[in-house]
Amino acid sequence: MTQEKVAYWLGEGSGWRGIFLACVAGALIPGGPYVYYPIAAALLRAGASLGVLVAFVSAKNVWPVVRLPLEFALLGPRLTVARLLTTFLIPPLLGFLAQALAGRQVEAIRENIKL
Amino acid sequence: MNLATFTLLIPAVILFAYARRRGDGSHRRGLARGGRTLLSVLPLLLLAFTTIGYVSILLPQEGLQNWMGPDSGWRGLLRAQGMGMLMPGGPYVVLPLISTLYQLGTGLGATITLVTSWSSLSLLNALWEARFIGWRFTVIRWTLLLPFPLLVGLLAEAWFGTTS
Repeated sequence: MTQEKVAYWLGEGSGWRGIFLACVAGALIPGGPYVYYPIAAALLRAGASLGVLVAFVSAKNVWPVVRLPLEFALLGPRLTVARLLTTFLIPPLLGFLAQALAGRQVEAIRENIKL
Repeated sequence: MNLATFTLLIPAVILFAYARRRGDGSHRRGLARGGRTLLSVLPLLLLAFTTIGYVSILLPQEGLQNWMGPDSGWRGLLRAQGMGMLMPGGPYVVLPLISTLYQLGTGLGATITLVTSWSSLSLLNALWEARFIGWRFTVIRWTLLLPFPLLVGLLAEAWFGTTS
């Protein structure tokens, strides 16, 4: 992906669309922290905003599609549905809050990423 | 066959059938790769399930119910949040442990707080995050997320009741 494309879809100006895309990507991406954190770091370096990155990591944490069958199997339908419903707004809300409250920190974070 | 086996059997059978239809041997390669993954995590799973076995035998059920049971209130949720932060490991290790605690008597809200806290505020995870993206990012995400596992547990109890 080119820098312009990342900046357009996921950068500071991408607003709710960027946060929504990040939530979907975070929910779908499989693998442990050694897989998604390097991807997140690369996206940030390429121009993704702080809010987009927080939404991505939060969606991976609370809406992970690959973890759902195991969770459903071990904890049952009622608890899984209750957890999904109550955490449903966390990824976009957190992304929006992070961008609004700390969005300007993104340059300092970007500079310190070592890939 | 229990619900757990059945839920996991369906995607396995569908994916096997799909891979076989491709006719390029991917159904055999998929099984082989799955087998190698199983062998590599086997020691971890053995240790995790040994721990789970002892937790369920040695943990006084009444104590757990006072601590994080359906009537433990917001204090129970707070304890669940703290415990979730300290749980190390991926879903194959932690979810069976949480499932055992749930069967032993943690309430619905506390169990949901536990899952949410482990998956989003786990200290081990924060170390990975800080290593790849930096402490500044981790501090921002962690601070903003801090009230949510407790809130989610309260909301779940208000909507779905406290008992399993």
